Amino acid sequence: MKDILGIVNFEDERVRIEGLSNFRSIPAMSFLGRYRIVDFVLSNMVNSGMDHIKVLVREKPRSLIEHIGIGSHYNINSKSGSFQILYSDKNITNKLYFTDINLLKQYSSFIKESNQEYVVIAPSYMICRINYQDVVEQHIKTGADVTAVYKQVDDGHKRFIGCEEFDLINNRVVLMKVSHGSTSVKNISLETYVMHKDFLLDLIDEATRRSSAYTIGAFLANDDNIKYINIQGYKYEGYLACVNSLEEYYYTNIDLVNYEKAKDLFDKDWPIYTKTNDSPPAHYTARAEVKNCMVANGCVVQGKIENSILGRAVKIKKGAVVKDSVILSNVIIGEGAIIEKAVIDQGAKILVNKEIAGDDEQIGYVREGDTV
Amino acid sequence: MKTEMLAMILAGGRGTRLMELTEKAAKPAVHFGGKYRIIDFPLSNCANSKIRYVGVLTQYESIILNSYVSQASHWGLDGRDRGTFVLNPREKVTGFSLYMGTADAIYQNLDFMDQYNPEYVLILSGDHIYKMDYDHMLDFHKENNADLTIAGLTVTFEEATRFGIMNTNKDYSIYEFEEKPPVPKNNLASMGIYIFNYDVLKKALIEDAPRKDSAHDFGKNIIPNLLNEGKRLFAYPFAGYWKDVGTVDSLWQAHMDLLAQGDPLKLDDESWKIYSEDVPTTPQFIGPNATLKGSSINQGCVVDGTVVNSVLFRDVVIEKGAEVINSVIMPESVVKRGAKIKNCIVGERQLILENEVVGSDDKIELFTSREVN
Repeated sequence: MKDILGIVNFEDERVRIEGLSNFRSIPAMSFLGRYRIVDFVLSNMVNSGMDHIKVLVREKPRSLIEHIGIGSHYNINSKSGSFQILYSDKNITNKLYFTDINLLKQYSSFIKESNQEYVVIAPSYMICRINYQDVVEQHIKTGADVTAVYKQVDDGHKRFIGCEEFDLINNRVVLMKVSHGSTSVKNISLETYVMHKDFLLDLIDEATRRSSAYTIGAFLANDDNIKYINIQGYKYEGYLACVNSLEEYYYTNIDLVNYEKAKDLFDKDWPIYTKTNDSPPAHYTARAEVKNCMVANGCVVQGKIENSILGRAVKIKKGAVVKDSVILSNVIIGEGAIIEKAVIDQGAKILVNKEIAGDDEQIGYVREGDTV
Repeated sequence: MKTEMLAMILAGGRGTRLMELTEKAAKPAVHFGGKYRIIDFPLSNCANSKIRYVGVLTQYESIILNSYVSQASHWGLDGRDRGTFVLNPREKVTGFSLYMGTADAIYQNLDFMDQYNPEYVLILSGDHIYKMDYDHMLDFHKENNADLTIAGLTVTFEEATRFGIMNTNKDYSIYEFEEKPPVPKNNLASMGIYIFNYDVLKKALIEDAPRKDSAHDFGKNIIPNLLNEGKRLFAYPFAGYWKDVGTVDSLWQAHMDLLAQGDPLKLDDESWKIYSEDVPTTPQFIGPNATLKGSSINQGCVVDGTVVNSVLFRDVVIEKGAEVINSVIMPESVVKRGAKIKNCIVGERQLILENEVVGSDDKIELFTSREVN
């Protein structure tokens, strides 16, 4: 097993979840009831035997730092391992220059001094179950400069819009472009790259010399660069979702309520670690009606829930009906309220008999902490 | 290292009447309430009462219990000035001796307690389910200028014959302590929770240790001796849910209480959480064919059958068409299609086969006879 350095990349400007991210960064967003988005990439790294991880933080890091802490709940060795949160100490006012490369440049000495030869860079919002050891193994075998992970999807006309897609010739990536959903079958990038530590350091220097606006993805995708950088594709075949918009956030949550589908993502031998909240088990009263749901601990369900996800400590009062919805932690759905096709953000209170319904065009949304 | 009050939890008993549930794990390690082990209650109470050092005295089948208790971080008891300490009987200069009684167990750990130079020692049982603020009890102890304070629970006179009963004056000072009286004069039962002034405790234990006629037991020997010596003993009245889950029936009943009484233990109370081991699991999935009524279900469960008035611990699978009624299913057990379970406690990692029927209307049954491979 290779000793690999992990870098959790932040989301770039393309990834915006309206409303939800007004208040906190995407990696810290509640996901599938009991998790935060960042739990998946961190668990993948830890389960791949990685004990040296750096998390790049874009802005508003409070809730993320509170959640990931010093990494002990991800099982990172408190003595021999290292877990660093890297944030910019420069006052960057122009968002254009707030890039992964500029941030890594500030901390390049950390990368230089690390004992790991290979680096995995992966974002949090690509939800998957992947063993990075396999990617590094292929990377070494092919002698590539960069190995980029992709999945061939067949629903690219409606999902993964705004993601990057690859054209490959003999497994070499020859084109990276933004997917607009024109065709259904395409190679979607997981924005996950493996490279030698020295290659990454060179890339950072070269990119910053040429433009302060480059991201790693944009630098690799550059028409000239892609010609001389040997980027090999690594084909990933497991579950993939990209949580890059409110619609995708909603869709991915609802999609995974289906246990058969969720089995692609969850595996007993590949635990997804998260921070415990020490909540009691979920409680269903005698009047509860529950079908097709994913429910976190601390919930009390007195009403009817169907095809929905409940985060921690959600209270569904008598006579309330929740259908096709994502309810984040500490929400209270009042008696007789009806929620359909909606995302109800953390701590919101839905009053008695209130109705909130979205549709396929527009998912209903109630902001964090609001009372409606 | 000096601490005001040190806690010592007596967790050495087997709990024979829990049958097979305590074959591999001592009673304090038995699962309770969908996600806890019994000893989480006294340990969380200690943590919430701001007690920093907790000794846990174990003896019977203590591999699971010792490794569990030594993970102090479960209860936030890890840190530079805190800790949980497993105290097994051990070989000493004077030889090797098992713990011969509750008082002997504490006596054998005087050296441990001396390290912390405590003013008070809190002695607890690791077998009981309740929430209590020991810091309030300490205030009561100090206000009364007591030598020993014993927490007391009001029971029925019928139940009183099974407890140590405290006969008290109006100010709760104890004038007589009767162990399991056939004709009780009072119904204030000792909960086996003691706060001692350490100097009083130490002297009493040293005096009791060499006595051949002593059972080295707090209720039978130490407490009556202190009363005879004219020490100040007080009862600290406790009101709230308390349960000794010593039998299969009472363990089952305690789970039914949780369901029927609407959280009598206030497990939902954010200000006094019961902490426990954090086992990574998948989320809880409720399938399209599920019917859930009046039940508590932990994370990691996959339920596609009917669950009524029951408690499911983590990672339990209830397949389509299976029925679980008035039952408690412990971690990682699997109930296959069409199986029917009624009035049962199903142990950890058990397999109930397709269409198997377990349990009846007549009695509470314990199922531990078939492990999942």
